[in-house]
Amino acid sequence: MDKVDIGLLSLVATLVLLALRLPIGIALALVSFVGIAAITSVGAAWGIVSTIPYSFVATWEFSAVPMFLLMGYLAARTDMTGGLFQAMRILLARVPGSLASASVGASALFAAASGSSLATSAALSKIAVPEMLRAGYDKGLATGTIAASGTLGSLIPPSILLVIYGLFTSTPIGPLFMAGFIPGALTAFAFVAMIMLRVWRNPSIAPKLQTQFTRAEKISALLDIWPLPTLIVGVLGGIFFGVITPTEAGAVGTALVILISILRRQFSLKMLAQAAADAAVATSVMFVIAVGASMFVRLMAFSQLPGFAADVILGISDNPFVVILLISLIFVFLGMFVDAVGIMLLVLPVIMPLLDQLDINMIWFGIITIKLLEIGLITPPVGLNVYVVRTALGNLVSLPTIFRGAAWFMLTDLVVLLILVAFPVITLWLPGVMAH
Amino acid sequence: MEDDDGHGKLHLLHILFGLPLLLMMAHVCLDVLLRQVFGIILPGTLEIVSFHYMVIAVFLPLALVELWRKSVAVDIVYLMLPRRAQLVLIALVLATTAAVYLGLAWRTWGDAMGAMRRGDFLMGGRLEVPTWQSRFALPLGFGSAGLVALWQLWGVLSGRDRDSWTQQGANTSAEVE
Amino acid sequence: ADYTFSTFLGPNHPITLNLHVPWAEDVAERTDGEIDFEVYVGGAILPGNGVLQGVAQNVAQGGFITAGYVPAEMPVWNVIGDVAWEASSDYAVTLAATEFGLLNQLGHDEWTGNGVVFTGSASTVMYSYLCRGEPKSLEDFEGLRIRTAGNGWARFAESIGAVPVNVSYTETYSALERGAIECTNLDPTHLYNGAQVAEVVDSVVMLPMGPFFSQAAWAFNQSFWNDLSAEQRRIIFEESARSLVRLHDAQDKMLEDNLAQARENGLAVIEPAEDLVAAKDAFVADGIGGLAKIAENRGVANYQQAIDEFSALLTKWDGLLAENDRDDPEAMYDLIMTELYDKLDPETYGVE
Ligand code: NA
Ligand code: NA
Repeated sequence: MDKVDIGLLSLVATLVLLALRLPIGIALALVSFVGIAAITSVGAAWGIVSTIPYSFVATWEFSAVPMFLLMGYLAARTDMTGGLFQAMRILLARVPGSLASASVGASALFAAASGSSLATSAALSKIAVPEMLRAGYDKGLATGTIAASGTLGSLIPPSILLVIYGLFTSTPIGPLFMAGFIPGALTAFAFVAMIMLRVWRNPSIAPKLQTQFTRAEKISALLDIWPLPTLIVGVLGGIFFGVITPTEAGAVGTALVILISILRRQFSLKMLAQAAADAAVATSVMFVIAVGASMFVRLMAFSQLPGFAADVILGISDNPFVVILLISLIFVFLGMFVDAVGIMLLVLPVIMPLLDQLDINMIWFGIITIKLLEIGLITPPVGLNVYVVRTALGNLVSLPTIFRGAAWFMLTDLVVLLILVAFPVITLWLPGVMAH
Repeated sequence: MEDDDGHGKLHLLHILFGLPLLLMMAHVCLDVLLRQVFGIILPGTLEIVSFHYMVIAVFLPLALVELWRKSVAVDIVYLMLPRRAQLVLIALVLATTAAVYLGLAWRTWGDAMGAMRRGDFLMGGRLEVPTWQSRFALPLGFGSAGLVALWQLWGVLSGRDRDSWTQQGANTSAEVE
Repeated sequence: ADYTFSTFLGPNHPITLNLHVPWAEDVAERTDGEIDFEVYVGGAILPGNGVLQGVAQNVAQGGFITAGYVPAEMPVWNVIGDVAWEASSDYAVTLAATEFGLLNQLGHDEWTGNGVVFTGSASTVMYSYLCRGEPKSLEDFEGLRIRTAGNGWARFAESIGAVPVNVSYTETYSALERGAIECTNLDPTHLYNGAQVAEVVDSVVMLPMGPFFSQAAWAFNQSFWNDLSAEQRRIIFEESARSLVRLHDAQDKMLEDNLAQARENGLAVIEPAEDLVAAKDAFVADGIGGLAKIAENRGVANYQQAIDEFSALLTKWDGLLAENDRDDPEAMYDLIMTELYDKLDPETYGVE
């Protein structure tokens, strides 16, 4: 059996092991060890165990990941979401489906404090969904909105997925963050437009609210919104104007959240310790996958499968759009079953040479990748964002209902994706501005 | 996440595992503050953050990850299987997990000992930063996670703890993407 | 047979382009494909700080190993890293270091002791300062924040009243761009190659501050080396010599091109003021900023012997290069073979 065969077999073996419920990180590490041993030697496979996990983790730029996690947990625990939703709902009171639109807006803002989609969905589901259900909103619309808007957390900076993408593909993180901003905003607007359209055609899914807000309520709600814009200015502005590096942004953002919570009298040491413990475990969970993937990258290099795959695909077509479409199909298919970090780290090592040969802009492709991964987060049967919403609501709404509600957003996502693919300038304009 | 999936009480372990992250935050912020406000350069920040806080923060809590069943797995096929098959499968999964973790622990223990013997260090600007200490986080994390997996395997085999694996399936509540 | 060669340098780095890739091709051709190295770049197989261990453990059979990543394993080579401040040319440093690894007991044994076989070292172009603004004199450098790779560079920066800063290589461009640092201590080919900082600096201060060289351009796994035939080892020696010549010819040209392009784009190529040159001379005269003391504190055995012997090799090669035409590749190849590789016995060198 030659190297490429072993590489291909390893890929298949990984998918089989995943289907058998072996944790992703364990599966990747195991397959990598056996594959490298088969191609080179058992001694070499042990050598990889000695060098890769340690040197992979001991990386300055990676320190942004636990910091962004901590920042998100702290922001959620200090109840920055509650006020946010109230303010958005007052702001969007006249819009058809106002509560759903307010949820999208609140998610987009909260995304600036949270590096992850799941954290964003989790933070908003308990606040926004009960309000919508009480107002008589369609269950699918109410829950689907939160599941889908949560995915803005990975697109609007900061984004853990973008940090990992940047490090695995040697793409600078600062421009990647800037690149996510406009596509994130575009997605939010598209979601709101879709909600309005649906409500306009069928008003019964989102009954009009009778609540009138007093002037005092309006002002107090709008005053309550200040922490998030402050964070955005502090963190993104800091990166944009070069006061801090994207790596430092997580730590500085976390400190800002602590500071804000002290000012709002919502800080306690216990809360800080709990958030830190949550972030530590979440960090560990993610790096088990990433460490396995970093070994898998070595297996792919040894097997020379990626180069071979590139040749085969380029033999079929060397049109970048056809290739991107092909890659998208792979992402969306895997996204039905596997989680986002896992898919990204499984697919990237295989397609890197292909992207390189086609001279594809890696910042643009990064945003496309995130978009594709986000779609996977709300597609059945495994859609982690949907699970999070259901869990947060104590299983009040059934999974199929949420998936059905999220499907509208997934279709909207596909439209946005097409626009982003067709007009790279939407993604690349802001990082271009930053460079000058 | 807000109720920690039933792990709401604060334990000493949580503080222990969370501490590296809080130290990392404080250290980086101090570095930024000194640099931007006072023009003072703190030597060794990059090395200490990457080679100590990161390594400890990532590897040490692995046992907790296994204990809380937070490892990300795909349970779509698993959930369609009859209970008996589920139990066989989960026993195999736990055995494999334990084997992989313990293999990693065994190897990285030797590496950590080697690093200690040599006294591994790095140059952080003008400051020499010793790095060997954190290497022990790997065998500690991998080893403790492997032991947890073994203990869980024993629970399935002995019949002490089967229902928790078959009733809810795998835990898919990863909170990171 | 197929073997693996691992370097953490990128695909477009001059050492990858001129040293490793053509070397691997030529060795494969001359051994009729018996020794066919696949060169993995950019740390695709092993990260920079894992190459020594990885080659020793046969993850790769050959590798490019920088001693600075593994100071505890390579104490002697980390000490001599700063001695090159005494040298007048990068070519002399390459050949002195190659001799130190091939023929000097201290230099040779340190690689062997780590389970790898050394067959040559390669130096970058001499380091200089690439700066925002146009600092020339001691006064200009007072308080400037300079990105250095540590060691002598950091000590010298401090000795002239500047502030040495540790910025990761990938963040250098943006650190200069946003003014977090005023200068970076790199060789001038990084203007348009490598870190490509030309857009974010205004000047190159041509004060030679030693090159980066303390590394094995080629280190091989011990058992891989044992299994080679004497003829194959001889071919590796010859191709190593040829590659060193090729590298320096290419680097000379690269430096020239970078400086020319810099001038064309309005960057200032500055000769340092007298007081700055004097400060450097004083720094070197002071045992390169107290290098011996640092080595002693670090507990390096035989540090004084290593410094003295490597220093003598630098003097020797500075002399030899003064007598020979470094622009004549054939003459340089012959010189390197006679002075270095011909002195090795391919039957026994490195075999254990
Ligand atoms: Na975000
Ligand atoms: Na999915």
